[in-house]
Amino acid sequence: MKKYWNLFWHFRKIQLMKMMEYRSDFFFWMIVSLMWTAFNYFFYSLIIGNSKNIAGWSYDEVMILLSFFTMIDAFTWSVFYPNMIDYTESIYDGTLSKLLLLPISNVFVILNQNTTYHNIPRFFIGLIVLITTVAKMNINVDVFQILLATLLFLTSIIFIYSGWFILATLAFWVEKLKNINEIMPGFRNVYQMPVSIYTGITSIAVTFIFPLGLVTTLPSEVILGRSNSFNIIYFILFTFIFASLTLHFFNYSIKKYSSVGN
Amino acid sequence: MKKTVIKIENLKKYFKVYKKEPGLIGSIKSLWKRKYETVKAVDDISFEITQGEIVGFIGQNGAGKTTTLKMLSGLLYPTAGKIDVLGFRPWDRKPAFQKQFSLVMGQKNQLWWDLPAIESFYLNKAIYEIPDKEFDITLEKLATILDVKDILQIQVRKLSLGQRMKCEIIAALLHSPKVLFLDEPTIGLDVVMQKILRDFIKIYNKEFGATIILTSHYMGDVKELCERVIIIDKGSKIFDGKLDDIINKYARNKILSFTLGNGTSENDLKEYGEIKSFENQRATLIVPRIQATQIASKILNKFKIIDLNIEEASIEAVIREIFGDKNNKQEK
Repeated sequence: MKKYWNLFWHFRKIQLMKMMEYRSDFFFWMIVSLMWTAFNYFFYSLIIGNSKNIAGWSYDEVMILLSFFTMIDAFTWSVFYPNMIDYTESIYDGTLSKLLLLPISNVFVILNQNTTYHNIPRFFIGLIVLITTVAKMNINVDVFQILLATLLFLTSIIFIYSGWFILATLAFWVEKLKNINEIMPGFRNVYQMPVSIYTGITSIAVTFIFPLGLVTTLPSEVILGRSNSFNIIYFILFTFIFASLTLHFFNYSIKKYSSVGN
Repeated sequence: MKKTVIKIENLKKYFKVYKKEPGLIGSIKSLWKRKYETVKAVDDISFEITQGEIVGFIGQNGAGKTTTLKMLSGLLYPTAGKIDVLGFRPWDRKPAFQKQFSLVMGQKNQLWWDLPAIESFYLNKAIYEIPDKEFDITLEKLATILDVKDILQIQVRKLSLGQRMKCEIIAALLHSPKVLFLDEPTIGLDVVMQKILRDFIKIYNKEFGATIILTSHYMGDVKELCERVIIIDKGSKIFDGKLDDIINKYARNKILSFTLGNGTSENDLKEYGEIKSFENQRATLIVPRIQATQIASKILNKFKIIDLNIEEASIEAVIREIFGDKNNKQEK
């Protein structure tokens, strides 16, 4: 475990050094990321300003949900995206070979070796908006709520990463699947809204069949003190089983790896 | 008796490849119906390699050399057959096995491109759990032998091909592997650098008692490093033995070189063999191996000969002959 902890930070250090080699690239994308975040908050202010609430969620409540979305989105672009892009490309160009030869968990390296840092400020913006909105709403949040919201936030991260990983792993089975890494970012719109906005079959689909709608709703509800225990347990169990299936699928698919000729 | 380190039995690796008909029509047809063909990349190969051996793996492009190395290192699952490397089944990819071997591919970059090589070495240290002291000693030794101490702090992308290859080799050897798979390690390097790497491989083999399989298109690599060679052609093993035995088994010709006295023309020699060169009364003839002595005797009797040599054909020529014959047969 200590080895993996050390390696986790070693990868972060290497990526930080890489980033410093290309400073202008870093600053450019950081500005883009900040502008995108500001636009996102502004966009929602406009919508709620006109309609007063979204699916029963007030302006401040939506800001809390949007904060969780912003923090998850920071992970999406900082960790998931660069790693999954590298992963699928490495299957097609054969560079996955060097990784498969290493005496450590292949999945650990695939999911961890890359990081981009320009979205990190975005994470902190989300966190600051969350804290200031909670203070503004004058609601009491106890330690248990904070811990449970953190657990659900991490569960959401695992849920999204598992979904992405399973899709990217299809690259072993198909000769060319170039845009596979655009599917999960496309789903972000689903959890950018409270799950209560969805009705009928769509609601069942995003709550139970593939609970994308719970990703930001659940931690937000915990902070707001109106959590749904069934949904929380269901989401955690679903994610646990989903992540296990993803690992099995990877271990099965790796047998299809053909590398490339010299 | 030396310990067997690598054992392969009836190894097969088949790939299913899609064959597209030419042109737009072919592309449209391929949307709903595709023709697949089974390619036998490796077909029923068996051999054993003992500790400390350096074995040359020779074959044309696409013969199955790299596929075999990839199966030996656990990158590919075989279609059939058994592999045992250091007591492990490679495709289980157990860390205990992976810490004991290295695969170096001359055409593939394993180092972090944007960072100095030393950073990749530190990462390997963490991955392979190499103790600090052992890491320092090994790195110092390898960097000294390969003369790269000055370039370890320079970004990999700014190094020359030769410098990069040296750093690749160091990265692959920091954990002191017992088995080394070298897939064309000297490809693209100049002759000086090729020589440096060959010398280094020899030293590493002696000092660490490492077992090495080497594939190379440069016969110089094989001649200088390998006592034993395995020749593979279209996925099948066609020779496994000492390098010199290739000549005994496959060489059909010998080379007669002699200097003639004045008055003999090139035409006078035609009946004795294929004239390879004739210049300033110095002639070189290619003659059938089994008749070489008789022909030499005839030439000595008929012409005024100043000196005469009978030589074996070069190993390169024999191997060219082996593959040339096979290609010709296939064309027919």
